[in-house]
Amino acid sequence: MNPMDNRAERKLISSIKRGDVRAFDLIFHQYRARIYSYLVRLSRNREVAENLSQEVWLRLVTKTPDLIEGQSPAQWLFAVARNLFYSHLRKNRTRSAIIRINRMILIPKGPQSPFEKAASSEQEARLERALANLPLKYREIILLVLLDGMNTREAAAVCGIRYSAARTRLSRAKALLKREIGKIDINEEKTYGHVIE
Amino acid sequence: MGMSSNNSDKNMEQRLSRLPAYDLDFKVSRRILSRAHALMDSREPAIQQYPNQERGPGYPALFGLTAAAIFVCIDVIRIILFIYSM
Repeated sequence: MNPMDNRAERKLISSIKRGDVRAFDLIFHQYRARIYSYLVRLSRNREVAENLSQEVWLRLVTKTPDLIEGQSPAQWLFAVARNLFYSHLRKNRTRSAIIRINRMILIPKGPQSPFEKAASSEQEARLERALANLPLKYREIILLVLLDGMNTREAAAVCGIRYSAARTRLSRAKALLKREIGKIDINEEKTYGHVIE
Repeated sequence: MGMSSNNSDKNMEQRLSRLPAYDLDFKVSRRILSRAHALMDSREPAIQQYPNQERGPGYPALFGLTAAAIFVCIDVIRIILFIYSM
């Protein structure tokens, strides 16, 4: 999940504090897709995710002095992304956008045969729909733990909740997701519509 | 029953972990990087705006105290000379 060593990441954060542009670029390339994916799936809107991603990265420049020495950059970046998303949500409660998932740029995870591609894309679409149908608080814990690979303690810190609450929320989220997957029929697009644009 | 539930949980988790990541559009990435670099560049002069700070905040105060001490000494000498001249 994370090829960069924690110590190396912390060194990079110190370098960013000193104004090292190359260190910023390295952290950006390391986390760019992870933060964007998290925001896309949280907001279900590509435009919103792009704007919020930009804000997250500019915050890293302006707020680096606030970063505590030794703090994991992943935790900090995801917490900032989450807070920005919730502030955006408060500002735009009435606006909702529905967008197509196939307009996204996907990072391929390795070579696949056409049959594998078709089968996996069908499964992926089903999963994406199930995820999108989850209530926000359950969706975000699934995104952090099962998609991004954080441990429950780190996810709890990002969400600003206790470890025990995060564990309960995660198991409830898994149960809800399983139920959603069972409910969804990939051919019935009319029922669920498109999830992400 | 419990075993099959566990297996289906694991299966679901594996499928979730295999979901592809979305990536930012190249143009958006470039825009973010150039804005961030500009912000980082503009941060440097702000630190060097007050060069006196590098010598410490006590430097002007020390200068003022020395001048005051010299004036006091001159006044004391003048008073002593005045007393002797009487």
